[in-house]
Amino acid sequence: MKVLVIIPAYNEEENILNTCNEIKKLKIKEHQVDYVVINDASKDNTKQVCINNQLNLIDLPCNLGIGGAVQTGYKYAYMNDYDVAIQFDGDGQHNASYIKDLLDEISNGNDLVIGSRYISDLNTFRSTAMRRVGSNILRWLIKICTNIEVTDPTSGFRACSKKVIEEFAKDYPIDYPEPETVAIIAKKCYKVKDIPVEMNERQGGTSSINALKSVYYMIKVGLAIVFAGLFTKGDVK
Amino acid sequence: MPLRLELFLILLILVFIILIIGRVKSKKLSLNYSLLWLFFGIVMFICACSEPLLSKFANLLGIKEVSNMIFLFGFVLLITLTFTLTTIVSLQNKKITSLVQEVGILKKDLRGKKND
Repeated sequence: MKVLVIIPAYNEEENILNTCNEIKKLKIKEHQVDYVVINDASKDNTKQVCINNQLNLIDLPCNLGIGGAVQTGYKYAYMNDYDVAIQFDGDGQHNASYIKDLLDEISNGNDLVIGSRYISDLNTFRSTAMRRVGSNILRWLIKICTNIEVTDPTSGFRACSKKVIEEFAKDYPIDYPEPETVAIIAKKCYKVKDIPVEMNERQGGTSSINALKSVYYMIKVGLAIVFAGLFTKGDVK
Repeated sequence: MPLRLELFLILLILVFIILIIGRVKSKKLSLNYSLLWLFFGIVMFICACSEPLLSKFANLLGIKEVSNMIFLFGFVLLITLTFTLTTIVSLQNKKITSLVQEVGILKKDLRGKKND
């Protein structure tokens, strides 16, 4: 299968090269793994680092936010006829060795495979109490609205089948897209599955969610899930 | 309402309507967005012209003071306007996002062609 790893990057000059090298090192049987970096108008030297190291780069002229950046990757995957797209953060949080596991589940016929921090026993990812509470509320909301269970709806480490690539290329939320897209895809009767992954602590840069934004985050994402549950038409694929 | 005030209001509204038409004519305001404003202007014009009609209408709605009715309508109109604007902004946001993404992808293609 033709696989595209989408790496959204905003101010990631320190991490982006390592991340791409990790992807380049990957050799997975029967799959051709490409990657693309989406530079979301970073204010630091991310663009220059990418060009100097001849990374495969899409350089956005304006800052779109994570949703818009990632969607660019899905559009690129759609235009270039990729079979699978994998979202992979540019900040070194995700572990490239799990890409194979995600791909296996896509090969097994799943449409959206989410790398979850909360299944694995050997997980070292230290999550704050608040974060877990928020995550649990979203899990519960998704369960009620779409009748599926995902353990880590906020995870940005995920693989999509060709059909889901097309859906995302057409429509993708602007900000905090992860839980909302899970709800939409589940509601459209695609197969969603989560598998255990380990995530690293951030290697540099700052998280996109601070304490002040978290209230807005919960309201926006919660409402988005409810709306997706109520108004997404469930056409059976 | 004293005649002087009435004339002053009518004059003000006429200037307002002429301003809208002028903007549309010079293509600074697109016709479809001007319709709401024109409608607003015409309603105001009618209101300013006939005070008895206004008090009759207020009576009909059960509003005691004509001025209260005017305030109410003013609020409703402003809310409608801002709501329309938010809708337009959302739509434009979507279009701009699409454009930025396409430009990004095109820039990449162009770089690829130059390197060949």
